[in-house]
Amino acid sequence: MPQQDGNLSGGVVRARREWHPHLGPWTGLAFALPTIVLIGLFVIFPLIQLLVDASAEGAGLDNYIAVFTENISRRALFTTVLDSAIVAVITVAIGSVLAWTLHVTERRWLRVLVWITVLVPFTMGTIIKNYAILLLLVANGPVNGLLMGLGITDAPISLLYTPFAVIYGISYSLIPYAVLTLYSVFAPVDRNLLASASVLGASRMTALRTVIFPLVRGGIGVTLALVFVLSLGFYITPLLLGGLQSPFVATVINQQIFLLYDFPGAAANAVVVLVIAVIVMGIALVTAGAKTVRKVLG
Amino acid sequence: MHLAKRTTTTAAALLISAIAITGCATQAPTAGTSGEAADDKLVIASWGGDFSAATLKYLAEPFSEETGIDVSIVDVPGTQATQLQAQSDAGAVQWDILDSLGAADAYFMNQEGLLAPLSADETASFTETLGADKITDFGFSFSSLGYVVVCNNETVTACPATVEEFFDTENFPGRRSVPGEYYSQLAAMLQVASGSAPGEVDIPKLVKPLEDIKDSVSVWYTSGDQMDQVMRQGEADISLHYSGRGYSLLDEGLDATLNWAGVYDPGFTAVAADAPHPTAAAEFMKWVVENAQAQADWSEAMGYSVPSTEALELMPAELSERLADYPANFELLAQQDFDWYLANKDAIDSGIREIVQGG
Repeated sequence: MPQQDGNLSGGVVRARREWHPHLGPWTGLAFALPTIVLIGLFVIFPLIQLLVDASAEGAGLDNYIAVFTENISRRALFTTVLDSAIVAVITVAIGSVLAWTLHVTERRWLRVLVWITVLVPFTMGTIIKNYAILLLLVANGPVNGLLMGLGITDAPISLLYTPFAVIYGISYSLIPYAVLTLYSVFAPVDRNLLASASVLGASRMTALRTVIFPLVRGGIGVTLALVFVLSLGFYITPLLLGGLQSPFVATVINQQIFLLYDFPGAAANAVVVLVIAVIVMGIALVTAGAKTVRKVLG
Repeated sequence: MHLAKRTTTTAAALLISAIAITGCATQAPTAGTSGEAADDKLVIASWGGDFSAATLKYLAEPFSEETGIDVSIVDVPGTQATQLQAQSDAGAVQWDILDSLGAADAYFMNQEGLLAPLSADETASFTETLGADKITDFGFSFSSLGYVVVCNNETVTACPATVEEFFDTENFPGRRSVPGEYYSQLAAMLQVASGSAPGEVDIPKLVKPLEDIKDSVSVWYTSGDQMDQVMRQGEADISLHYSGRGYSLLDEGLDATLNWAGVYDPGFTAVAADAPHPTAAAEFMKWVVENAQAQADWSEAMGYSVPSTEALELMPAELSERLADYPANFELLAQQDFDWYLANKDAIDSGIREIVQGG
C-alpha cells in the first residue's frame, strides 16, 4: 500500500495531464521551429525580397507592366507559356501510355524495359541529355541523315534552334516526372474493371474512356499542371536547343541579371512566372480536389 | 553549436582580413615611396593557366633578367576589373600591370579611373614604335584577335570578302552565325555596313543591315564553342568567327574559306592607377613595346596577336599571316570606336537585342 500511495502521490500530477497522441502547441512549435526557420529564411524571405526588388526605387508596378509591354519580355513569356502547355500535353499523353503499361502489363521484360526507359533519363545530367538531343538534331546529324537517306528531304532541314527542338528536349526531361506521378494515380485502379466492362459489352476503348478515365481524370489534370509548372522554369534546354531567337523567360532573366544589370526587371519577370505557376497549381487544386493533389505529389 | 562555430569562424575570418587589410594598407605606401627611387618588384595580374605561363616565360622572366626587377604573376581570370576596384576602394592597390585586359573591361576601368594614363613621353615613343592604331590613353593593344568571316565551301559559292558583303544576302546567300549577346564588335561592323558617320548615333539606321539579314541568321551564338560547333555541324554556312578559332577549324579539316572581313578586337595591357611599383611598371611597359622578339615569342606560344609589326616579321610567316595585327589583315578589319560604343551602349545593345530576340 505505501508503495501504491507513493505511486499515487507521484502520479497525481500525471493523472491530471492525460496523454494525447498530439503534441502540445509549444512542443509542436519547438519541433517545427527548425523547419519554420529554414522555410522563412530560404523561401519566404527570398520571395519577399523578390517582390521588394521588383518595385525597387519607387518603380511601383512599372517593372511588371514592362514584362507585358516590352517586346522581348512579352514574347519570351508567350513562348514560355505556349511551349510549356504543349510540353504538358505531349508529356502526359506519352507518360499515360507508359504508366498504364507499367500498371497492367503481365510481361516482366516489358515492365523492366519501361522502367529503364523512364528512369535512365531521370538520372542523366541535364547537360548530357541536352547535348545528346543536340547531336541528334544537328544539320549533319543522324535524324537528318535518316530523312535524307529515306529520300524524304534532299537537303538537311532545320531541326535545331526551333520550337520543335525545345519542346522535344523539355518533354524528354519531364516524361519521368509524368510517368512516376501517373503511375501512382493508376496504381489503385482495379484492372478487373476492364474485364468487367468488356463482359458487359464495352470495347477496350469504350471501357478505358467511360470506366477508367473518370477514375484517373483528377490525377491526370494535376500531372498536367505539375509538368506545365516544371517546364515554365526551364533554362538550359531552351537556350541550348532553341537558341537566343526564341528565349524562355529564364533566359531573359539571366540576361537582365548578368548582361543588363537590371535586377528589378529580372525580379518582375520572376514574379510573373511564379504567379502563373501558382495560379495553374491553384486551378488544379480546386478542380481535382486537394486529396488528389496530395496523392499525386506524394 | 553550429551557430557558435560559425560565429567563431566568421570572427576569425574578419580578424584575419582586418590584419591583412591593415598589413596591405601599411605596406602599399611604403612600397610606393620606395618605388619613387627604384622598384625592385613588379606584380602582373594575368589570366591564369597557359596565359600566365606564357607571360611569365616570354615577358616577365627575360624582363627580370635584364633589369633585376623581381616579377610575380597573380592569376585573376576575368575578375581584373572587380578586384582592382575593390583594392582601389580599400586604398591598397596591389597590382602594377594588367596583362591583356578585354577591351570592354579596359575602357570601363579607364572610365572609373582605375588605370594610369600614359605620359606624353610614353604616348609619343609607343606611337612611334607601334603606330597610333595600337595605342590608347592608358596602354597598348596586346593579345588581339579579329572577328573574321568563315564560309563552308560545300554550301557557299560566294564568300563575303568585306563587311558590306557579309550583310548582303542577295549576292552572298547562306545561313549566318552571328554573336548573340555581346554586341560591341557587331556594332562596329554595322557602323561600316550602314554607312554611319563616325560618332553618329542613329540606332534605326545603324541596325538596319542586321534587320535586313535577320531571316538568314540561323544561329545567334553565345560562346566560342558554339561558334565552332555550328560550323562543324552544318547549322550555319557563313560565320562571323574569332580568327584563331577559324584557323583551327581549317586545320582540323573543315573545307572552309576564311576572309579577313570583319573587325579588330584588341586586348589591352595597362598600368594600374596607384600601382605600388610605378617605376618598374613603366619600365615593363616600355620593355614590352620595344622588345619585338619577346612579343613574337609570346604570340607564337599563345596564338594571339601582338601589336608590333616587327614582332610579326620575326615569326614564321605561316603563323604571323594568321594574326590580326598582320598588316594585310589589319587593314581589312573595321576598327571599334570604344568611346562611341560605351557612351551609347544601352541604346545600341537594345537596338540589336530587339532584332535578335524580338521576333
